[in-house]
This record gives sequence, C-alpha cells and structure tokens, in this order.
Amino acid sequence: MDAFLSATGHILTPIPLLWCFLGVTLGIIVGAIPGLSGSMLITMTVPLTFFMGSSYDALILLIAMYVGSISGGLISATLLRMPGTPAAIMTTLDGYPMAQRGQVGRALGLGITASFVGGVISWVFLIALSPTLAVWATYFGPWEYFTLVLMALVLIASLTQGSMIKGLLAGFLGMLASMPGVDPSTGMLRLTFGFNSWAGGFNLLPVLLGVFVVSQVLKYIIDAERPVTRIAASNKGMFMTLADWKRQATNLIRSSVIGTWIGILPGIGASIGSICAYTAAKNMSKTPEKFGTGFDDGIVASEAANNATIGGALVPLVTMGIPGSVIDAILIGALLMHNLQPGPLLFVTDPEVPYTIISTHLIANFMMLAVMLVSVKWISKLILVPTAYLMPVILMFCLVGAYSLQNQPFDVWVTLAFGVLGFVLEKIKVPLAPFVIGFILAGLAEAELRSGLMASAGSIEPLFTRPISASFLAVSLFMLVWSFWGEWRRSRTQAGGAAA
Amino acid sequence: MSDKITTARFELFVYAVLLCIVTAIFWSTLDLPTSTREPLGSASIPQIVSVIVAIFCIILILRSLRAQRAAAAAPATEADALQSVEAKAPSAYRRRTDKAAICFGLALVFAFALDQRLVNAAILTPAFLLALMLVLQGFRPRSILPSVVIALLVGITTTYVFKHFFYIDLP
Repeated sequence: MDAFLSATGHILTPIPLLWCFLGVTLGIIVGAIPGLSGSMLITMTVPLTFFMGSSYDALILLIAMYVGSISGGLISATLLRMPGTPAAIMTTLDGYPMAQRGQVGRALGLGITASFVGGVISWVFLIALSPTLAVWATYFGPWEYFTLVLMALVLIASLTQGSMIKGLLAGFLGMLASMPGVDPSTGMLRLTFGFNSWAGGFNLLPVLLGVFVVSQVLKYIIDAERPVTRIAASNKGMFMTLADWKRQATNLIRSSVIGTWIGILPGIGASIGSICAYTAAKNMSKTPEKFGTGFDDGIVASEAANNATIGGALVPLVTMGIPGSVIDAILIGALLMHNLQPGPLLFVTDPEVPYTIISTHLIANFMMLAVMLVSVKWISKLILVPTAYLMPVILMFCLVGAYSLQNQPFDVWVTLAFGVLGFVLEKIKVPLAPFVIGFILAGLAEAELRSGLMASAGSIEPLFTRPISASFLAVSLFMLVWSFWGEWRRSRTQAGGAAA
Repeated sequence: MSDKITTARFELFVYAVLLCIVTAIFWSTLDLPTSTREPLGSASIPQIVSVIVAIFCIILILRSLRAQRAAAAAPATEADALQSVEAKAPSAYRRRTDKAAICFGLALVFAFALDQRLVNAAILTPAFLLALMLVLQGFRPRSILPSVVIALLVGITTTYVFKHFFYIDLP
C-alpha cells in the first residue's frame, strides 16, 4: 500500500504529470493517424527515455502513450472508416455509419466514454489481481516459467488472425533471431557466421524499430495514394445522457470484463478483445440486426473492450514479466534496457516500479478522457497529415534512434534488415506480433529450460509432474490441437464450397 | 487469378529462402562443442528451433504449391472478374512500390554515410529528409519550398539535440 501511495504521489507532481499528459496526447494523435500505431510510437520513444534521468518518468511516459494510442484509434475509425490502430477495427463498423448519419459527436462521445470506463474497470482488475498473482508467481520454478513462455507463444500464434502455422513460424523465427551472439550460459559464440559485429547479438530496440517502424513506413508509402474521405468532427451530443448510461451499463461492464480477461491471456492484444466483446454484445442483443448500421452498442462494446485489454495485458507484465500484448513486449524491452527485470520479484525489490505502472494506467485514463473530450475536434484535423512530410521524419528518427542506442552504425543496419524482414513477413501474412514476442521471450525460455534441466540432472520429467507446468503444457497442447482442428475444418469447408 | 498465382509464388520463394537460412543455421551449430557443465550445450536450442522452423517452412511450401496448382486449374470465377474490374475502377489507387523501394534505397545510403562518417550529420540528415520528401511528393515546384523548410528545420534540430543534449557521437 505504501509503495502504491508513494508511486501515485510521485505521478501527481508537476513533472511526471507533464510526461503523462505528453504521452497521452502524443498517443492519441498517433493512434488517430491510420498507419501509425502505439507500438511504433513507443518503440521510437524508448531510446529517448534513456535521457530522461528517471526510469519512473520514462515508464509514466510510455504507459501514457499506450493508453492514448489505443483510445486514439476510434477517431479515424469514426471519421475515415479506417481504424487508426488495429484495436479500433470493430469501431469502424458502427462508428462510421453513425457519423455518416450526422451524429459524429455522439459516435465519438460514446467511444471516448466507453474507452474511459473500459480503462477504469480493467484498472480495478489490475490493482486487485497483480499483488496476489505476483506472490503466487514467486512460487514458479524454471519449469513453470518455461511452460508459461511456451503457452504465451502458442496462445498468440493461435489467436492471431490467419494461419496458426504462420503464427508459430513467426514465433520460432523470432526466437531464432534472438540467438546469435554469446550464449549466456556457456559463454560460447554461436550463429555469428564469422561476423565480429554479431558477437553482441541483435539488440531488441533496433529489431523493434525495424519490424514495427521501418516495415510499416514502407507499407504506408506503398498505400499513400489510397483515396480517403473525412467526415468533419463535431462536439455536438458528445456527452452521454443518463438514459444512455442506464441503457449501456450492462454492455459497458460486460465488454470491459471480456476485454480485461482477453488482455490477461499472454500475448493477445486489443483487437481480439474488441472482436470478442463486439460478438458477445451482438449475440446478447435483442436487436442484433442493428449492429453494423451505426448502433450505439457496437461502438460501446468495441471501445470499452479494447481499452480494457490494456489493464488486463499489464497484469502478466507486472506479475510475471510475460507480455500481455505486443506493446507490453516493447515495455518489457524498455524495462530491461532501464536495468529493471520485470517479474514477480519486482514487487519485492523495487515495488515502486509496478505500482508506477498501475497508477499511471489509471491517471492516464482520466487524462485521456479530458484530452479527448476537449480536443477531439482539433486532433481530428491532424489525421490526414501528408504522408510525404510525416514518413521521412519517422524514418529518419528511427535510424538516428537506432544509432543512438550504442553509437554504433551496426544497429542502423540491423534496423533496416529487420524492416525488410517485417515487410516481407507481413506481405505473406505472417503475423509480426508472435515474432517480437518470440524474440523477447527466447532468452527467458532458454535460461529457464537450462536451469530446470540442471536441477533435475537432465530429466524433463518435472515438466509433466509439477502441477502448474503440467497445466500450462496442457493448455498449450489444447490450444494447438483446437487451432489446427479449426484450420483443418475451415480448409475442408472451403474445398467443399469450391467443388460445389 | 494471376494475382493468386503471383502471391503463391512469392510465398513459395520466401519460405524457400527461410528454409535455406535455417539449414545454414543448423549447419553452423554442428561445429559448436558440447558442454561438459550442463546438459544442453550452446547448440541444442538453436538446432531444435531451426528444425521446428524448417518443418513449418516445408508445410507452408507444400500449401503454397497446392494453392498455386489450384489457382492455375480453377476456371476464372465471377469474383476474380469483379476484382479485376474494381482494380481498374477510377477510385482504385496506384500502389507505389516504386517509391517505397527508392525510399528504402535512400535509407541504405543514409546508413552507409553514417557508418563511414562520410558527411557531417547536420548536412546528411536534412539532405536525407529532403530527398525522401521529394521522392514522395514528386518534383512539383509548389512542394519544393515547404519540403526544403521542413527538412532543414527538422534535420538540423534533430542533429543538434542528439549531438549536444543526448551526447550521441553522430558524424
């Protein structure tokens, strides 16, 4: 409790509040611009946080960006019919038709309020679950951690849209990409192919900059001439009435809870949470036919859930050091770069760190509500900023940022190489999220497997005999079988349809 | 129809390249000595992971081949015809792969210049920005002046901040 109050007290002082405000505002703007995402913004900001002096302030800035960027996506989803972030994809279905009907303010207002409520409800889960789970996680041994990483990889591979095999391929490719350099257990050089510069391995930041920024910039340039029509934003009818609150109460709570629990599952992000909540709202609605035509319930379900996934996704991050989503994977990287080892012991060794994350999440949600309600009209004018000016600046920051990490041009080359890899993988519909999560978690998985094997004299028996690791393994196997079966059924149906 | 075949061919090419890479990785781990202190050694995990990746690549190669064959054998459907009409519609936009390739080429030149410390960053950065902006805008007289102003402003400010505030050793 002391650590929580101390962390909250720190955030409520002028400088951290300023970072929080800056983070939320930048996040909303970037989230609102189609093609740019929170992961891009946070990745590009990480190198700059080294110069901020305080790791806590760096965390405040990054978490605020996270909250802002997920919320900002609803602006372009409503005004352009293009989700600013993938998380807002379901908002386009009802937000845009409602805006087309002339109820722009109402569509934006519903989305903003639902985002806020989703964020606050997920925060309640975050603060309630995290300390307890962290204590539970301290009982985890190497086998539990190893199987937890496996489960995270399988979950993200099976629940990302598209083929399960492609998801798994991405995850294992990410693991492989993290292996060149000195093997931390034996001190031996491996996979360097004679290049001295590879001895230190590939740093996380250049890899992230390449995969998330360079590849997206290239994609954005290719599609830059796509015609878009923007509906002008309006503040009219932005505040929800008492009748709206009464009508949406169940939907808000249900969608927020769904979003939070989807977020807690390792590796699964806001877009899945939003889809699940939208589907649940539609299935439980008395008027499911209205969904997709500019219906209040659709916007509320999607936005409450996608913001709620943030709080949920932060639970495995602060308690176990396992990313709940791609942005959490980047946050883990940022923590490591600031010499903070995420995991349950953080609550013991440096409790202000997890509580700074938790408190910032709440304060950033309040700030997001205020910033969005006050300035959505102006922010909406930024969403069509010309690509020709924006993309060069982003690419330049990305390359200079990679260079600044260690004053080494090698990192710039790594950024460009992984940019191409990310671009190619996306082109063949191999998801990037499992790649990054595999890259980040490979070291942890390998270290824990080695420790476990050393403790059991080379036997893998504890993997099956220890209850927690056995259950993680069982969940992974179940997800694997279920996903492959689903894919097989889909391909059979398609083949049947084609034959008919 | 031909789009499907081209996509399947591109996928096939990428998986084949990945398969070659993981084979090379597996091969390079064979030289690593086994550890005497712990059960796994440095080679085991990369070997296991590269075998798994190779298996996935083979499965995906087989799938791409099947897709390619199916696309070649199937008659043109109404959906394909509709797609091709849509692609030619006036609202359809031109995908600028050429511009993306040029921008990436410029990024490689920028990286090379940084690596070799060929030019002072205060000149290199604005020049890089200006080149990218002109490629993306096209060399229209109306867009040149704003591009020059933005490139100079952002390029010089960034270089100054990184060099003098963040103490980064830029050329």
